[in-house]
Amino acid sequence: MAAKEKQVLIDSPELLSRRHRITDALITGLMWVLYSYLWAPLISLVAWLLGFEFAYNVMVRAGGLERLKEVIWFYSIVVASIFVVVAGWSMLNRRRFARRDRRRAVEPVSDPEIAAYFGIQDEQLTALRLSRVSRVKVSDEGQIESVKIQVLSAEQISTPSVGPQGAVTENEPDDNDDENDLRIQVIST
Amino acid sequence: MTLSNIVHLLFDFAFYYPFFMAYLWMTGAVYYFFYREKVEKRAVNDPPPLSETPGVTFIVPCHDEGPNVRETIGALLDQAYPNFEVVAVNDASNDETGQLLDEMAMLEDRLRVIHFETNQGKAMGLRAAAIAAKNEILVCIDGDAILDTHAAHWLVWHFVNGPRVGAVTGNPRVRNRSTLLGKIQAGEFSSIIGLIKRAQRIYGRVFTVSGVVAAFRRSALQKVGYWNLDMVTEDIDISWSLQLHQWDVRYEPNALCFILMPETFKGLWSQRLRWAQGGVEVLIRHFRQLLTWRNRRMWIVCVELVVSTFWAYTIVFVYSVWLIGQFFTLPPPLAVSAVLPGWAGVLLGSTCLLQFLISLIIDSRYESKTLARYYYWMIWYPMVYWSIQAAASCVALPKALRKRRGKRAVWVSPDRGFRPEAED
Repeated sequence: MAAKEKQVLIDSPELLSRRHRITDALITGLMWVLYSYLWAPLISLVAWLLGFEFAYNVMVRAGGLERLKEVIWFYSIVVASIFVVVAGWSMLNRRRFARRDRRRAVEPVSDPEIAAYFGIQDEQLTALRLSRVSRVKVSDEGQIESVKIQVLSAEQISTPSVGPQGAVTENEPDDNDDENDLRIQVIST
Repeated sequence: MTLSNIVHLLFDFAFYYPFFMAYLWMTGAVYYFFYREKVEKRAVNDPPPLSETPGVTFIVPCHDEGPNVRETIGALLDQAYPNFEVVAVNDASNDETGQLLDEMAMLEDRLRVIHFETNQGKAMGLRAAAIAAKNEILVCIDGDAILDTHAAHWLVWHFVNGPRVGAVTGNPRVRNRSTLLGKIQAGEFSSIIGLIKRAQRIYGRVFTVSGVVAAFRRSALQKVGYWNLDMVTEDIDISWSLQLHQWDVRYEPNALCFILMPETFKGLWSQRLRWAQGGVEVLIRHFRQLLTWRNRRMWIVCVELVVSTFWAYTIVFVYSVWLIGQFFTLPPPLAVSAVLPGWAGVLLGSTCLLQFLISLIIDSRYESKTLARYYYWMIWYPMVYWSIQAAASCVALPKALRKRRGKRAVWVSPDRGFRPEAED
């Protein structure tokens, strides 16, 4: 068992009232009783084996036993076929593909490719990569319109970003900023 | 073919489909378990060694995650994997999410934050973070999820050892289990979702990565055009896009991620409706691509989706005819004596319980033995839960067909269940 499991599972019966818990348990019990209706023929079979007269009527005179034999035969074949097909298919695949990489590995996607796909500037991509906190504006069509870089003053690091003309600039730490002040630089497409 | 024959066929289909699918999933999952999981003999906290540790960027899109975001980011910063950064995207939250993220970013060098001015939706958040990411491997986590300490290592192993791996999805575990819905979903994620993902790995294609925990190779995303902005389930869409471009999408059950699920009926309905609608939207979007021989391996996933949707309509029809027949006299072809036939009912009932049992045994490897406690509550799944899912599928299909292409999908704060006061 993973150690995490103990810490994170929420099984707190006290969240529900006692009445609620008892009702849940009782209704679930009732579900089992209803479900057991499915086994009515099985109960008849057991009763017949025990020699009960009414069960004899169901199992022998009404042809229940014959039907049972047919059902068992038919379903056994079907289930066995499913097993053969699944196991056979898996073994065939293991024989053909296991431990054989017939396809070449793909090179990791490059930054210019990513920028081109999303229709953003390389500088915007770089800014998004290097900023600790950023604010992104997205159009209704899902296109990134602008990136605002927030420099948390506590970071005391400079973050390269893009100026209004697309030139790369650096944000210098500002001694006058309060600890929670943010300096925001907008990079628009 | 007479009406009587058609009705008879529909009734048979309503029964046989879940029966055979259950065995298909069980067989696939058991096979996967013995070949992939048991043979490794590695515990969750003992991932296999890596020949290299490429940089990883965790991406966390957040919208109104104030009560959760500290825990989520904290779990990421706590990862045992040595080489990573975290990029959180605050998608115009109305609560204190943005402020909390800024505060954490001031204290933690490995965390960077992107704020959106207006609500852009999860897909746009992921796209922006993919641009900002410094690394090739992106691990996307929801803003209310908690990643297990070794999960990143398990996910990265696939990328290091599989050059054509485009995405790897982790193993979501339901955190909130206080209410009935929480308990049912804790069982559901083990018995249905885990089982199906394992079986689909045996087919060779998965229907979807779990949006809550999925890792991607950025070069693969670039090839397929990243996440589409107009799909209600960006996770299903990206899974299909990648696989239709011959990228391998894998499932890593050891990469645990603890998630919050809805604990109200309204929240559950909204979620299931969105999932069902998303599947149909993706099918419509990619249908032409699916028709090529090159993409034949996706056909089985496609057929499963189409047949499941048809089954949902069939089961609603069967229930409706049976219910109407209780009050009114129907024409002979539509007269239904019982919804489930005799021995077939025994088999279906037993199959369902067998499926839960197998999945709980497989999953006990990843979760404590207490998982067995949820078996009692799982009876709701075949009795009621299936009906909810079937109804959601029926409502979702016309919604997906009517939806205008290009309409942006944006955030709506989901129901995240009940939590003790102290944790808020």
